[in-house]
Amino acid sequence: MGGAAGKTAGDDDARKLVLSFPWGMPGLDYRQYCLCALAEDSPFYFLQSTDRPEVGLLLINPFAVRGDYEFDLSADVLEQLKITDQRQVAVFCTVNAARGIRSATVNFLAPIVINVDLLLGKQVVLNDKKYSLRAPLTAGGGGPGEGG
Amino acid sequence: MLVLARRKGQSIRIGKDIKILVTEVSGDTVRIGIEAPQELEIYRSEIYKQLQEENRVSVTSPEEAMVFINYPREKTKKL
Repeated sequence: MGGAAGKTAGDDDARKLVLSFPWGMPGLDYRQYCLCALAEDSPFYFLQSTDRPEVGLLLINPFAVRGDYEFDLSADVLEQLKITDQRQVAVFCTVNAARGIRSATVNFLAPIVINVDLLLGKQVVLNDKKYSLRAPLTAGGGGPGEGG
Repeated sequence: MLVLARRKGQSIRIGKDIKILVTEVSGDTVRIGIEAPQELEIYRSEIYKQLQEENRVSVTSPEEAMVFINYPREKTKKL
């Protein structure tokens, strides 16, 4: 892994994780990413391709915007990610901000599940009609954001 | 495309590792059981297509992502 994580968005190497996505992600060509929080107390993270550091995915801790978010991991996923304990699991959702910050959406249907011990990740498609690929980030808030 | 007729309880083998079983037929809905090696990802086709598209349009640069550092804090819960 070593040098691959060289050029990344943040500057605090201690909080970066280099993750393998052995199954890739639909539509994306990369299998290794570097994960770091945008800021120490931010719910947003950047999942940066180690092959092409200029691209990546904006992620959010889904529980920060949707307190009732929950799902069961299938036995297959548990086995693939070698998850034996709930404490190994971290969950993120991708944010689509292509239409701007105020129109950003969250993909709750296909969360990214990570085994933080083994640094293995996978995008999992849930079988639950409650969740969509494009839920507004501001679902609870309504109205435009106040800005910075 | 190869087209085969199968009844409930009948199956199809693809190679030595993949088995597709018709478990139920009801009106225009067919329930299918699939046995395949773990490294093969199985998706509903329409969901796979939508997810591919959503992932592609979600790709962004570190600079664009950093804009969210100013996202209103009151709209996200402190964890």
